[in-house]
Amino acid sequence: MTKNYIKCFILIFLSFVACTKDEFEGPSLQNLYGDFSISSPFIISNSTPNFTNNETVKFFCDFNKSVDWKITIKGLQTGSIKEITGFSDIIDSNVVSWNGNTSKVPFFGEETCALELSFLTEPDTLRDTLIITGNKIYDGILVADFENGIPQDALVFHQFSMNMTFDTASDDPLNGNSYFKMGGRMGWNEWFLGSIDFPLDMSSVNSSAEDFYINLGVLSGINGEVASDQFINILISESNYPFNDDLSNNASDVFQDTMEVYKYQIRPVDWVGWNMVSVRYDQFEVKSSGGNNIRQPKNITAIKLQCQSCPGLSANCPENMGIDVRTDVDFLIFTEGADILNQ
Amino acid sequence: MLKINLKYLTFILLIFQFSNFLSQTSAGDFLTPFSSNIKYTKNPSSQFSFTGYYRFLGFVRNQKDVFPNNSGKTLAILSGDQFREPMLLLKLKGLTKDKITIGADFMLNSLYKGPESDNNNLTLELGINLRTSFNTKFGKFNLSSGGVNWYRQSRLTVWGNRTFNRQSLYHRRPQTRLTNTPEIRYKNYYEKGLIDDGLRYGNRAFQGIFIQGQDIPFNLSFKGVIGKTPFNRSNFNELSNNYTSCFKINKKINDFNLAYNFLNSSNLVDTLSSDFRRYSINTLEFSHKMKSFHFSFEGGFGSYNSPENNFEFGEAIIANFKTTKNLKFPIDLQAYRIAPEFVNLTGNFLNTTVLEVFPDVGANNRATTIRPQFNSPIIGLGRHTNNRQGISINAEHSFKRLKINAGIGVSSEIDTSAASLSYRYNVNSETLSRLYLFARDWGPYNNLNSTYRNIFENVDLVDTNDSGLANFKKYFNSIEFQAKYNGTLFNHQFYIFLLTRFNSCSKSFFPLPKYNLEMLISQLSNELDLSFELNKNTYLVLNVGIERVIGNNQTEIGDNNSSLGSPINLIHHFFNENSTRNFERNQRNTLFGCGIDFKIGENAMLFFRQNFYKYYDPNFVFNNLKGTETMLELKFLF
Amino acid sequence: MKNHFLKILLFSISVFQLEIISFTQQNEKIWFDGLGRSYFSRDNVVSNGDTISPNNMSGGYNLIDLNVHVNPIPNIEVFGQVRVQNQFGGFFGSGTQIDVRQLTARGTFKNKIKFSVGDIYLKQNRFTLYNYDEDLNLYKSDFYNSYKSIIDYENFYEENRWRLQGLQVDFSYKFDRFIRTLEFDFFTTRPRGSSQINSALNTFQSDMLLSGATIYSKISNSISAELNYSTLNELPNSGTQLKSVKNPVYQIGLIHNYNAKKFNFNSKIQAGFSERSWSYKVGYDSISHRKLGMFFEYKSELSKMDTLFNISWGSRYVDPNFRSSAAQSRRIDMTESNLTTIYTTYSNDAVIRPISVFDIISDLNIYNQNISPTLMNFNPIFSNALPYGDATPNRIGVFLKGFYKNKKKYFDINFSTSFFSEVIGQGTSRKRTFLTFSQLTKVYLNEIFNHKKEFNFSLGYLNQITNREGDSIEFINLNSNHIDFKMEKELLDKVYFNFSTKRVKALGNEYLTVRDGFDEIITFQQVDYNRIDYLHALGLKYQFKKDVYIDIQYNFWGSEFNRANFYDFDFQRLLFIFSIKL
Repeated sequence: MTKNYIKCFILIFLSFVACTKDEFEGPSLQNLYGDFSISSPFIISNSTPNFTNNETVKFFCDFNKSVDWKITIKGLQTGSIKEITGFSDIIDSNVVSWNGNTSKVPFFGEETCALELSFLTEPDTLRDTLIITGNKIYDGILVADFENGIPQDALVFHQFSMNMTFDTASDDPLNGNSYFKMGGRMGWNEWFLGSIDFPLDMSSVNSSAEDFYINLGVLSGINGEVASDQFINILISESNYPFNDDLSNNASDVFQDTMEVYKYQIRPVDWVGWNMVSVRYDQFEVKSSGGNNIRQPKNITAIKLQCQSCPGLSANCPENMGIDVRTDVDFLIFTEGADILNQ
Repeated sequence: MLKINLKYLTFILLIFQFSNFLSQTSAGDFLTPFSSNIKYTKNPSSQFSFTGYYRFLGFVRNQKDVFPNNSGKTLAILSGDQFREPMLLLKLKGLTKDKITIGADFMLNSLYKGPESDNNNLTLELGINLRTSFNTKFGKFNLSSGGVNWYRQSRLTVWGNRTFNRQSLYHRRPQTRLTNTPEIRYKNYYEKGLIDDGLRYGNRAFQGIFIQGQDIPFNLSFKGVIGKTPFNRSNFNELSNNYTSCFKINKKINDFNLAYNFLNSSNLVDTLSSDFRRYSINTLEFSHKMKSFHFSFEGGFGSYNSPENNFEFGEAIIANFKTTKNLKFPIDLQAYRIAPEFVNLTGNFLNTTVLEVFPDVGANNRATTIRPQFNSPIIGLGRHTNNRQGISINAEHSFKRLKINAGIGVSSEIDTSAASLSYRYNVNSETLSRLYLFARDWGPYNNLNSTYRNIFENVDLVDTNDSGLANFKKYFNSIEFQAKYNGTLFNHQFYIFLLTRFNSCSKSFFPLPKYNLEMLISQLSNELDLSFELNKNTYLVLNVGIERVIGNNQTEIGDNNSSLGSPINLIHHFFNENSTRNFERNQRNTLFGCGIDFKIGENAMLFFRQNFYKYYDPNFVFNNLKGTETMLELKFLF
Repeated sequence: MKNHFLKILLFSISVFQLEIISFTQQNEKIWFDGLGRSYFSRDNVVSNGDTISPNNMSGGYNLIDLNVHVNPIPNIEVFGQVRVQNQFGGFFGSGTQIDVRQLTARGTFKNKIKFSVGDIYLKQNRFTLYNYDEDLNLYKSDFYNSYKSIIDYENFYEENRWRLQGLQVDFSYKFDRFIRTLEFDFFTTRPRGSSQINSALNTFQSDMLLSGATIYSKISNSISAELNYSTLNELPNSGTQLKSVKNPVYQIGLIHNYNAKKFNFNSKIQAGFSERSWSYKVGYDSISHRKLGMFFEYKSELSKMDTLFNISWGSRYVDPNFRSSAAQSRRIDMTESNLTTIYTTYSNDAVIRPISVFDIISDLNIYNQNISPTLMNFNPIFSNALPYGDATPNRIGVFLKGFYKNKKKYFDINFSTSFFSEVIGQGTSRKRTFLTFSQLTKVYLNEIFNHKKEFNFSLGYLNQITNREGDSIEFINLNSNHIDFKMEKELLDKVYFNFSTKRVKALGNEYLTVRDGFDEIITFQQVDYNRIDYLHALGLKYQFKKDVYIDIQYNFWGSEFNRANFYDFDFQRLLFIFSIKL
C-alpha cells in the first residue's frame, strides 16, 4: 500500500516539476537595474515643420530598458518651451509627436528650436534642432488679441490715480505685436483699479460648461517685483440686458447684482512675466444669482476683466505704496474640448 | 454539471442513509469529530464575587439670592449632587486558590434626565487591583499592583490629611457607612469620637506596584511603592516619566519602634530637555509606647529641584506625646517644624512654598487641577503646612454624660511668604462647593476655590515688600472646643454635639486667637447638632451653624464704603466714634438644617436633609447668597 | 429536475439520525471567570546622538477581562467578555475604557448539532484556513513567554486559528460498514463589516465574508479522507467600492495510518486549487487579474509509541498563482506604515523605526487580526523561505523535521530542515533557492545533577540561506542567522531567575517585491543587508502556575544596520507584568 502511495506521489510530483513554466513574475530586473543603453538614434521626422499646415513632428528612439524620458523643445527666440514625457523602453513615433503647441507661454514663433532628449535616472542626453516654418494656429473663439487696439465694442474704465495704464502697448506682447496693459497705483484705500468689458455672441457654441475653457495670457511683475495681492476678476454675464444701455456709465450694464453673472478670480497674480491661465467655465462661481445658476456657454453675452489689488493705504499691505500694480492681459480666447496649451 | 454532481451526491447520501439505518450505533463512543472551531472545555465555578451599594441622591437647590454672574437659572433638580460618586458601586473580586485576588470597582451612574439622554455611563470608580501574598522562610510578603490603592507611610512622607476628627455629623458622604440602626452613628461618635470615614481617610491615592514584607529576620518589616499619585499627572501623554516612589523600613525593639522612610517624586517638565520637578525626602521615625503614654517623633530632610527653584536642604520635625484615653485628663501634645524647603504633596501637611509643583492638568473634566490651599492657610488643629512651626495641646474630660474635648494651638511662619492668606469655611462649605465643582478662583471676586466637598477663600494682603511677598511673618492661633451630650427625653435618646472653632492670623505673636481688627483674619464658627430618636428606626437630626470671618485693614477692602451693614462697626462706633472700622471681610455663613435618618430594612436606609443657607458680607456686596437645598438619599448595601 | 434532486438531498439530510457529542450538563446558570493584568514598562534611549526622541518613556495599564458565562438552558451557553482597562496614571475614572471584547453563543441542538455564533476561533487546513505563527517563532519556544502570551491573548491567536465573527456548525455520523465516520463542518463569517470610508463622499467599504466547509471521513481504521473548501468574498452591493474580490480554495486529502508495535507511520497526500479574481460593478461584470493556482503536498511521519522520537518528511509544490487569503494572511505586515508603538520614530532625522526583533517579540500593536485578500509584506531577514507558511506560493521543495527526547529527561532536541526553490523566477527566469536549518535543544541540568529545583538552558538556532545564480543583477545571496539562548534557574520555590538572548544577523542582498492593489508585482526594491538585531533579557519570574505569574525583566535591545545614512538604535526597557487568569 505504502509503495503505491510513493509511486503515485513521485509521478504527480514529477509532473509538476516538468510543468514548471519558463517565465517570471513582475517586471524584468534587467529593465529596472540593468545598465542603460540607447539602442537606436533619436530620430525626428520633420526638421522644418510648418504648423500652419497642420504638420507634426514625430519622434522615435528606443532603449534597452524602460526609463522615464523627457523631450524638451525650446524656441531660441521666444523662449517658449514644450515638454513631452513618458516611461517606456521605446519612444514610439506613432504615439509621440508635436503639433507646435507650447507647455509654457509665450507661443512658439517661426524660429529655430533646440531639442533635447533626457532621462530622469540616467545622465545621457541627446540633442538636435529644428526650424519652425509656420506657426500653429490655435482653434478657438478669439475674443481679443489687441492687435488692432482695443476692440471697438469694448468698454474700458479705470480710476484716475497714479500711473494708470489701461491701454494697449506693444513693448512685450504675449502673442502678435500688442497687448492690453492693466495696472497703476491707487492713491486711496480702494481695491478696484479698472476693467475692460467685451460684448460676446456665443449662440453658435454647443459645448457644456465642463468642456468650455476661458484662456487668458496674463503678464505680471515689474522689474522682478509684484504688488502684494494683485489679482484679476473675470466676470461672465449671461444676461440679455443690453450691453451698453446706459451710455453715461463708464462700464457695461450686464454685470449688475440682479443679473446672471459668474465670477472667477486669478488670485494672486504673483509671477513675473507671461503666464497662460486657462479656466473651465464650470469652475466659475455664481456672483449674482439673477438667472438659473446654470453655466451655459451659448448664453454668454459679455466678459469683464477687472484689475484689483490690495491698496497701499490699507493696513494689510503698506508695501504696495511703493509699487505699481501690473496685471496686463493678451490673447483672450475661448476654446472647446481642451485648454489652449493642450491643443 | 451541477445536475450531475447533485445526482452523485444524492446517491451517496442515500447509500449512507441506508447503511445508517442498518448499522448505526450509539453516539457515546465517538472520538472527537472534526470541528473547525476551538475545543471548548467548561469549568463552571464562579471565581468572581460582587459586593457594593446602590445610592440614590435626589437633590434640589433653590437659590433666592445668587452671585451676579449667575445665568438666571436658580433652581437645580439633580440626580446626585454632581460630585463623581457612584449611584451603583459594584465591587468585583476574583480569588484564586493561591489567594491571589483581582479587584475592580465599577461605578454606574444615571442622571435620569429623560429616556433620550445618553448621560448614562459605566466606568471605574477608582481602579483595578491585583494582589497576592506569599510566605517564604525570609518572611511574609504582599505584592499588589494597579490602583488606586490607598497607601500610608509616615506623616512627613505619605499620609492623608488627618486631624482630630472634630466635625459635624449632619452631612453625609457617599462613602459614609450604613450602620445597623441610625443611632449607632451618633452613639459611636459620642463614645469614641470617631466615625468611619472609609478607607480613604488618612491615606493617599497611589497607582503602581506595592510591596510589603513582614516578619523579616532581625524584626524588620518594610513596605514601599513605585507609582504615581494624582499629583504626578502630566501635560504629556500617559507615557510621561512621572513617578513617586517611597519605602519604609521598620525595626521593632521591644516597645521601641524605629523606622527609616524615603520618598522621591519626579515630574517631567519637558520630554527633550529631561528637566524634572523633583523632591526627595529622608526621615527617621521613632516611637515608644509605655503603659499610659505614647511618644512618637519623625524628623528628616528634604530637597527640591525644578527649573524654577532649587532647595538643597530643608528640615522637618513632628513630635507627638499623648497619654492613653483611660486617664482622667487625657492629653495630646504636638509640636512641629517644617522648613519651607521641605516640599511634599503627599505628606500630612500642605505645601505652601512652591506653586509650580502642582500638576497643571485637568482632572474630573476640569481644565486645571484642583490645588489644595497654598497661600498661608489658616488651618485647624492637627494639620500642618511647610514653612511653619507650631505647638498644640489637646485634652478631654467627662462630666457624667457631658463630654468635652478642646485644643489650643499656635504656629508661626519660618520665613515670609506670599502676601495672601487662605481659609476654609466651616459652615456652608459643602453647599458652596456644590455651586461650582472643582473650580479655581471663582465667585464674584475670583477668590473662591472648590475642592472635594469643601471650599476655601484666598485673601490678598496689602503690606508687601519689594519682592511682592508679605512684609512680615504670619502667626496663627487656633482653639477648638467640642461638647457632646447624651440624654433621654420621654424615653427617647438624644445626642447634642457642639463644635466651636476659632482661628486667627496676625502679624505678631499672640498666645490666643482673637476676634478683632488687630488680627489679619479672625474666624469663628459654631455648629450645633441634635439627633433625636423618634423610634428605633428613625432619628430626627437638626443642625445649626454660624460662622463669622472678619479681616482688618491689612487685607483687601470691599466694594461697599458704608459701614452700616456691619454690627461690629456699629459696636465700635457706639463705644468710640473714631474707632477703626471694618471695610474688609465681614462674612457670615449661617446654616439651618433638619432631616431624618430612617432605616427601611436590613442594609437599607433613607436619609432626608433640608438646608437653609445664607452667605453674606455687607462689605463685599456681591457676596450674597441665600437658598435652600433638599436632599433625599436612599442607600442599599449588598 | 434540479429541484427534484435538491428535495431528495434535503430530505436525506433531514431523516438522518444525527449523533453528536453533547456538553456535560451543568447546574450553574451564570458563572464568571476572567483575567487580570498589570503591565508597566519604562523605556529609554541609549543612543547618545538622538536629541529629539524623549530620553525616557513609561506607561502601562491595569485591566480586567470579566468573562460572563450564562447557561439559560442545558447545552447552551452565552459567553460575553467585558474588558475594563485603566491607563497607568489615570486617576478616578480618567483613562478608563470599558469594551465588550467577545460575545458568543454556543451549544448543541437536540444533542446532535454543535453550533457557535458570534466570536469564533476557526482553523481548517494549512492551505485553506490557518493562522501561521509569526516570524522568529522557533518551535513555539518560551524564550519570551510573558510577552508572547500577551500578544497571543490580545490578538486572539489560539492554536493557529483566526478569530472570526459568524456562525459555525458541525455534526458527524458513525457507521459500521463501508465507511466508519462521516463528519461535516460548515462556517460562514464576516472578517470585515461594511463601514464608511469617507463621510464627505459618502463612500463605504464592502462587507467581506469568509465561508467554508469540511467533510472528513474515516474510511477504515487506516485510511481517512478530507475535503476542505473556503471562500473569501467581498459583497459589492454592501458598499460603494467598484471592485470586489473573490477567492475560493478547494483541498482534498487522503491520510493513511499504519500502526506497528512500537511505531506509528502516517502519510498524507493532499492537493488543491484556488481561484482569485476581482469583479467590477460599473458597466459590466468583468473579471480581472484572475489567478488560478494549485498545490500538492506529500508528508509522512514516523513516531515512536512512547512519544520520545518523531520524524517527518515530505515535499510540497505550491503554484505561483495559488492564493488562499485565509491561509496566507500574515500575523505581521512588514510594510513601513505598520508603525511600532515604542519609539515610532528615532534619530535626529526622526525617521520611522523599522520593525525589529524586539517589536516582533513585544509589540502587540504591530500584529494583524484581519484576513488580507492580497499578499502582505514580509522582511526576508526574518523569514524568506516560507513567509506565508506552508501555503507560501511559488515554492517547490522537500522538508524533514523531527524531535528526540532523552529517556532520562536530560535533554530534548527539535530539528528541522528544508530545501525549497521558486517555481518561477521573480524579475528573471532564474529562481531563488532557500535552504533552511533549525534546531532547538533544551538541557535539564537539574536532572543531570539530580537537583530538585529546576535548572535548564535552551539553545535555538535557525539558519536560512537564499541564493539565486545569475549575473550581477540577478544574483542573490542572503544568509540569515537566528540564535536563541535561555537559561532558567529556580531560586526559591516557583521563583525563577532567567536570562535570555536573541540575535538575528542577516548578511547579503535581496530584492523586495512591491505589489499593487491586485497583488501584481510592479517593481523590485534592491536591498543590501548587514544587519544585526538583538534582544537580551534578564529577569525574575514568580510563576504561581501557568497563567498566574509576576515577571520583572530588564531588556536591552536594538539594531545595527551597518549602512551609511542609516542610524542604528539601542534601547532599554524595564518591565513589570502581573498576570492572573482565573
